[in-house]
Amino acid sequence: MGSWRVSVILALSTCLFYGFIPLAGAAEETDVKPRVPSNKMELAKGMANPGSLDKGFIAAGKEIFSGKGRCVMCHGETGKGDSPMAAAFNPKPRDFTNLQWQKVRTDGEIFWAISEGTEYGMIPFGGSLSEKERWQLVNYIREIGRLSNPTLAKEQNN
Amino acid sequence: MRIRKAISAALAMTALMFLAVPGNIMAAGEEKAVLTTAPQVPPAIKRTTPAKVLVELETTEVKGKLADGVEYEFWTFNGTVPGPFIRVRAGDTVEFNLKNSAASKNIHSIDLHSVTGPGGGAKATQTIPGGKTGFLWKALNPGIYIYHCATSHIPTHIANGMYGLILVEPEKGLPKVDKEYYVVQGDFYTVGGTGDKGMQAFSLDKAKAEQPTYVKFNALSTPGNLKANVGEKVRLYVGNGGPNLTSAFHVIGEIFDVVYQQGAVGSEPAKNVQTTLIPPGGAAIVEFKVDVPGAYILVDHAIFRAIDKGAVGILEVTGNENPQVFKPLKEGGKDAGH
Repeated sequence: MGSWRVSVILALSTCLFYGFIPLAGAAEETDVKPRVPSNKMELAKGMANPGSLDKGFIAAGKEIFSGKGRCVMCHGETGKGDSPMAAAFNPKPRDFTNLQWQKVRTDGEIFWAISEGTEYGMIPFGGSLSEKERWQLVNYIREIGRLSNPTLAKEQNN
Repeated sequence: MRIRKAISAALAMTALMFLAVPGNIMAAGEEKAVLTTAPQVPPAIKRTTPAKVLVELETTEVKGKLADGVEYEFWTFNGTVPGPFIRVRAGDTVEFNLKNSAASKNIHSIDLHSVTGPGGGAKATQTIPGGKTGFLWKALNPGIYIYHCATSHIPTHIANGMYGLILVEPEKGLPKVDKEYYVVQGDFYTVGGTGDKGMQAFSLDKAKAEQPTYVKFNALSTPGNLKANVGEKVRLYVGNGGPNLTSAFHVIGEIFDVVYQQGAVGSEPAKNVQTTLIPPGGAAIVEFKVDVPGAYILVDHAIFRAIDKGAVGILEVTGNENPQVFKPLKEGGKDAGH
C-alpha cells in the first residue's frame, strides 16, 4: 500500500515536472518567439534605428498607435495585446509590456514586422505609413516597455 | 467654307468617340468602370478590344438593418453589403484604387479572386482610415469572382459584410439574356439570439463555432424584389461571402436551365439543375427562362437558414398565365388527380 502511494506521488510529480511545467514554458516561448521569417532575420536585425528618443518623436508614435495606424484595435490601448479583436488571434498580438519580449526582440525586427506584416496576422504598413512614422512607432513601443518595466528603464539608463 | 466643314466634322467625330464608350473616358483606351448596387448589374460590355479600366471603392463602417428591429454595424465596400458589382472584360488592365473612409475605426483592404498576384491585391491595399492605396492588374481569366477584405482578423472583416462580386466577361461576352441580377449570401453572428431587437454586436464565439444568427441575401442593399416578365431569360450572378456556410442555392418553382458551376465561365455549363452549391469565397451563374407568373423564392435550401434565419429573396414574375405549363386545379375538380 505504501509503495503504491509512493508510485502515484512519483507519477504525479513526473507529470508536473515534465508535463505541466514545459507547457507553461511553451506559452512563454510563444510570447517572445520571433515573427520575422528566418530568411529575413539577418536583414531585420541589421537595421539601425535612426529614430530619436525625444519626447516629440515618441509622442508622434503614440499618436499613430492610437490614431491612424489603429494599432490599438489589436494591441489594445495599453499595448498589452488584449483588445477585444485580439481574442480572434492565435498566437495573440504582441504584448509590448512583456519584459522578456522587450529584451529579446530588436528594433529592426519590430520595424520589419510593422513594414512587411507577419504570417501571424500583423498587417503590413509599409505602403501606408512613412519610414519615419514606422520608426516613431518602434520607439513608442519601446517606451511602453520602459513604462511597464521600471527595471528595464534603469538598465537602459546605466 | 471647306475648313469650317472639316472642323465641324472633326468636332462631331470627337463627340461621338466620347459617347460611344460606356463610362467616363479618362484617356484614350481608358474608362471608368460602371459600378452598381445589388441587385442591379452593370450593362454588358460592348467593347471588342481590351481597355484600361479604372475602379475605385471606398471602405466604410455603417449602421444598418440586419432584420426587422435589429440593427448592426456593417463593414462595407461603398456602404452596401454586398459591395458594388464590378464588370470588366478578359484582357483588360484594371487600375484598382481603394479608399478607406476617415471615419473608419479599422484598417481595410481587398483581395479580388480575379487577380493574379500576391494576395489578390491584399498586400498592396492595406489602407489606414483616411488613406488611399492602389494596384494595377490584368484580367487574365474570365469568370465570376468574389472579392473580400483581407485585413486581420480576416474572418471578422468578412463576417461583418466585406465582400462582393466582380465579373470578368469572356472576350466574346456571355449569351444575351433579358434580365441580370446580383445576389450574394452571407452569414451573420450576433451576440443576441435570432430576432433579439436593438443594436446587436458581432459575436466572435458564434462565428468561430459556425453558428450564425442570420443568413441573408444582399443584407444591406437596395430593397425590393427582383422583377421579370413571363417569357424572359433571367441570369443571376450568385456569390457567397460566407464566412462559414456553403449555400445550397435554389429558386423555389424554377429549374436552372444553365449553371456555370463555381463561376467557371469557359467550362461546359451544367443544365437542368435544381439546387447548386456555392462555397464561401465562391460564386455561380444561373440562368432560367420564366414561363409562369408568380413569386419565386430564392433560398439557401439548407432550409432552416431560409425559414428561420432570413436567407430568402423574391423574384416577381408578371405576365399572362401559362396553363400549358402550370395550372392550379379547383378544389375537388375532376382533374385534381387525387
